Amino acid sequence: MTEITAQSIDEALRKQLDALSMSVESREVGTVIQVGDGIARVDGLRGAMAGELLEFSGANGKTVYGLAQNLEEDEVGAVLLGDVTAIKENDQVRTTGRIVEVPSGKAMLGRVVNPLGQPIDGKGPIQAEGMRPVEFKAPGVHARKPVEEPMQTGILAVDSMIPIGRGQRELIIGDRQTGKSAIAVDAIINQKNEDVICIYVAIGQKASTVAGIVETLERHGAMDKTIVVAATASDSAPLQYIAPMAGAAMGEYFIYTGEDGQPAGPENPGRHVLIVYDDLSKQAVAYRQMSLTLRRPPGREAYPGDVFYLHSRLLERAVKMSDENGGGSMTALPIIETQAGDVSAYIPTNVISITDGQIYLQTDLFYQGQRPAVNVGISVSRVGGSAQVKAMKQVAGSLRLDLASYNELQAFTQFGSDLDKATQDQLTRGARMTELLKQGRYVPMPVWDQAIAIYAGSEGFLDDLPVQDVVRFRGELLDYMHASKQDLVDRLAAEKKWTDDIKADMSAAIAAFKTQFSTSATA
Amino acid sequence: MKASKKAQQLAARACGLTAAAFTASAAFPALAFAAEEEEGGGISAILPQMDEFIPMLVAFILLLIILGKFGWPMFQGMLDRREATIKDSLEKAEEARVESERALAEYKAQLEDAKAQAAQIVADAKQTGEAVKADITAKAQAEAEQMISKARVAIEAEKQAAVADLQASVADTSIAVASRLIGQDLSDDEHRAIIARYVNEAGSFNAN
Amino acid sequence: MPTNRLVAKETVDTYAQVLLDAANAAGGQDAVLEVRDQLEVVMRALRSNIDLEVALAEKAYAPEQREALVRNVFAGMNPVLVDVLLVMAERDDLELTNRVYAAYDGLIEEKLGVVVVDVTTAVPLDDALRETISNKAAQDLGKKVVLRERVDKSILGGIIMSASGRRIDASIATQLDTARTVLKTTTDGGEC
Repeated sequence: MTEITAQSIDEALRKQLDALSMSVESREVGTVIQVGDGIARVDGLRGAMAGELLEFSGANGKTVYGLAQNLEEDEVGAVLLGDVTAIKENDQVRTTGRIVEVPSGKAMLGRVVNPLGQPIDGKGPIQAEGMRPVEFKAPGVHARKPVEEPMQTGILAVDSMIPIGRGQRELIIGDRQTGKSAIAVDAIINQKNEDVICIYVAIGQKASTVAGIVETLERHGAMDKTIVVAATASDSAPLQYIAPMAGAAMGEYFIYTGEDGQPAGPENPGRHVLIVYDDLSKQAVAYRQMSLTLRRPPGREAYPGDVFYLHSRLLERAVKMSDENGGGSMTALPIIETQAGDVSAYIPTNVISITDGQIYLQTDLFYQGQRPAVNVGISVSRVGGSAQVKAMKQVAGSLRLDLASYNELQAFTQFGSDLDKATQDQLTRGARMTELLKQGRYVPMPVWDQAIAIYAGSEGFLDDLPVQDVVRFRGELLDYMHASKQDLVDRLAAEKKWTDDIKADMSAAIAAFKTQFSTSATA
Repeated sequence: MKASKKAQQLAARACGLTAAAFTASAAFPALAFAAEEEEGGGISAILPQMDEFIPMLVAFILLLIILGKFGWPMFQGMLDRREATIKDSLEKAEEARVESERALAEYKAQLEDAKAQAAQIVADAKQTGEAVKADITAKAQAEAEQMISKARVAIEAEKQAAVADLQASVADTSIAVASRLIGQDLSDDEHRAIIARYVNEAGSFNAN
Repeated sequence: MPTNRLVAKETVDTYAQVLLDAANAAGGQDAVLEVRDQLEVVMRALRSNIDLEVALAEKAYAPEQREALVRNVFAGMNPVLVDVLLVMAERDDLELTNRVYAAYDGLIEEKLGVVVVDVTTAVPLDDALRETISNKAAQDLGKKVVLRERVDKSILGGIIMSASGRRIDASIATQLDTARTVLKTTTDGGEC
């Protein structure tokens, strides 16, 4: 570490003074007519473009940036990004000719930034490799290719039944306190050893919640490959509005550039990105506030007419690039919070129709102890199936069947008491399978472990265990497998599917383990 | 073995009995001759008196025939039965011996199996333990490394923040000094010269 | 105030036209430019003085009361301007002042064939400088130029010129400010 001396600082300053250019070009200027509610009406600026970045010179030389939104005949409605109180009437406004850009690059990894890309984690300035526009047009049809690689979340219920592929947009929807963020955070933690870069965009959340998530990610070693973009509840509506797009822009850097910082291409593969928007309903609320203060006409639920377009153009930026374009991908996990399970509200229906499927979380499941509280019956993944690992696909089919018939029977048999053997068997199997899908937080499972666990269930090894022992059995079985039968797990991972050989060996191994497994005393 | 010896002894005893019968019958003629001698004397003393000898012989032959006809087969049957019983019990003993040997072998095999299983379990446990140990060690090491690198990052960040702070205050001060100098030291003419220069250098109103 | 923007535009144009014609008739170009300056002051006052804004927007006041208020506030202004403002106050059109100012500016350029260039300096200009500035502006804009000079010590030095919504800021204050921002925010990217 070098010493900090007055001389070194002096040198640095001199170096920068040389770079200083005293350009005195003519700029278009306007004046603030009115300011309030985070918006400013500006007189003049006839040449301003929609979405252009405006520079407000506030009191004592403070510069605040704004976003030109409403272009009217003789004035411009702008939203302010930053210190609203520094601006007053008659202040000068200049156009910049740029649209809002955020810094991007590898240096952003492991950092917590605000939606303008400025660090807010106290770890010093970020040496960004470049700037990317916040509003960026999504790649067209022929720059893409279908989703084909799996994006493992490490969550048994999701990876088996609702598989997500790289480049997919999978909605996580549910009431408050049902573990929506937990699924997203677990998915990020599971990318720790994968070649996936994660971006977590927190919109309108408590700063303490965001700090908790950052701490969690750090504790599980996933923060090194994660960027957290935080627009907390105390940030202005425009910042909350722009946050998801800023996150997407930071992610796009990794898709469009290779490891060496050059544009991605056939020889220079783009990177894979997982981006979580937590949550888009708050962004919609922020956008509604902005629009109403800008006096745009309100529509359904007072949202502006273009709130659908707001979300569709954001989620369209999730992409799987074709090989000519480097084959990078951006997987989006938008989160939507429903009120009392109402998925037919405006924003939920919008986003459901935009995404490639949804993970539906339910309060009653959550309180029944089924965690993650995924309702596998109505959760779907429209494109992830083609990206699922073969071994998983083989066992997940029977799992889905077992659970479906279980759910059907369960409702049916609540009245009757005399059940035939077949029905009883199905109930037993279903109860064990449901139990099998339970999983704690921050303990992602590798996909092969998941496959083995489901295999054990679907082959009936769990049927004679007490239900409360299933989770313990699963854990101890996997420990045993890794300790004593690692070669078998390796074989499964190498073959990527269940051959007859592996099946036989696996059944034998599970049976062997089961003899030494002690069930808990049943009271 | 013992059983067969007993059988031979029994057979020997049976022969002895027959011999005794002959001795007894031989003694009677002697008595008869002795009585005759008292009457006739000489050789006649040792010769049997025919009137005594004939019935005796007849009785003897009768006895022999009766015994041979009835006694001997009964005796023989008894012997045969005995022999069979002995043979049977011998066979049973042999069977029991074989059975016990088989059971012993079985127990031995089971014992071996159990020993092997125990060894396997111990080995498994050892392996698991090793794996867990290695895992824990690796985790602890990784954690330690992470902590060190985190501390390093934090130090670096603090240093950078200090530099940035210092830089900002230096910039503020120097700019403030420059402003004051310009405001106070320049004469009107110097001001006008600057204005003229700037006007000439400035970009066009129609630019962009 | 009419909501139809064409009607509103017509109203604005009428006010501006009347103002220009009256000022021109009263005192020629000097009066026109004086009215322009004063109109700007009025505009700024209306924007930044919340009490005035609230009082003028108060529906409880009768048009006459509003007129009296305007007459008292803007008493020192050119009579032509005051008259127009009174009419605007009576019709509750004072919100259009911004647009009247813009339209008035356009009309000066159109009717009188001159462009007004606002020049702010730290020291008063001399004739040679005026010549230089006028020449430059006339060359850039392709029209005859009238300078409106203003002296403001707070810009420290240099010059700020603005015409028809564009601005050349070559003041020392701004340049120092830029320098300060650059010095503060940029680092040379490595160890210092």
